[in-house]
Amino acid sequence: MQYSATRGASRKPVAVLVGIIEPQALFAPFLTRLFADAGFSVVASLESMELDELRRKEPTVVFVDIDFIEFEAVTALRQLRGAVPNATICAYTARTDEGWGGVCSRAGANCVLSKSTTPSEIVAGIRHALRVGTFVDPRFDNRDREPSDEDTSNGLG
Amino acid sequence: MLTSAYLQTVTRESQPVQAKAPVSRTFIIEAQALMAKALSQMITLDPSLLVVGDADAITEANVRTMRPDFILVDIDAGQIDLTEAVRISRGVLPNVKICALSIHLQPDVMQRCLSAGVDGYVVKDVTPSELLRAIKSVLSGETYVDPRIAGRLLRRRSTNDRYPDPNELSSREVEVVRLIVAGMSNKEISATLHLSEKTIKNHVSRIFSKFNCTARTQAAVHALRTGLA
Repeated sequence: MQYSATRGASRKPVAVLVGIIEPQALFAPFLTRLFADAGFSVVASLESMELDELRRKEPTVVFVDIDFIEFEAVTALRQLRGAVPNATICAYTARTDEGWGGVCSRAGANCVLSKSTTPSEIVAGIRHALRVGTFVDPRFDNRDREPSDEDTSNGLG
Repeated sequence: MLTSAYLQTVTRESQPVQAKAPVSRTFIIEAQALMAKALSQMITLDPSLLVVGDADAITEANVRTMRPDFILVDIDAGQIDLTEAVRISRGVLPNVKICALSIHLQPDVMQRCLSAGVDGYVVKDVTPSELLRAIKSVLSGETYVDPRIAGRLLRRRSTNDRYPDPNELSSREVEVVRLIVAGMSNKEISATLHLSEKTIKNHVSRIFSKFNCTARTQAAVHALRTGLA
């Protein structure tokens, strides 16, 4: 059965279309399978920020590994927000330093998930974000702060 | 919608189980919970490999408990000190084989790993079957390195520093590509480097030509994967 999100007053089910951006190509098929098993439809699985492809596929959810993409995380999230303004953007990151969840949220992520999350927690976090508009993994210290210079370094160092 | 044909090729059911086959005990060091699960699933597709556990770091205690024949270490996530990890592992099990797993296609990163004492270096864009081949190669006593990086190293050595690689970027081009990676436009790069926009355009064209690509994103990806940025 396909998972459905309801929007506004309408109860009509909406298919959840997922676009994955995961440069760790070895793992991308497992994300695809995880989402498929959850009833989502994976419409794109990309190794880099192919914004035109994402725009074309019109995903409901963009799942992006912000530690390994070619741009620093805050810029990447802003670009994604601009490219697919109506999508629920889910940032997947190993960083759990103070306020990082808030930085990602303000850069455009609706959902911020730590890489310590289990597969079922990933799906639950996305479903929560689809339902209420936002989800930040409780593993993050969610105090607000402004992006610092450190935030503009990519995770490839 | 994508089909999972790729995954179907690696389903556990597709592999015959040989009850009496000798198994190599494999220990996964992976800070990403999902990735640990994925690696475990991939490795156990091979009946000669048994995943005895996973952890986000190597400690003397967990090596003693797991008694692995082979350790696969993801060096990208977490704070892995590979030299220390190798020292701890070999201190407990002198013959244990260790392979590093990384997203980096940079020869320097691979060399650092080999210098730390690992037996193999695998890049994360390989297929599951290539990963298994690498593991078995290391278990058989060979050193496995990604052939793309090995080829690059050999080419670099063969030029013997006297003949510069025509595809090697100049120092200015390296500066430009790093600013591309930072998400800057030509105009912003020109302001940062105090050069005209036309000059930057020329540099970008030469970078594209040397990288054999046609877009800034492709150039940025290439620069990151080859360690230029």
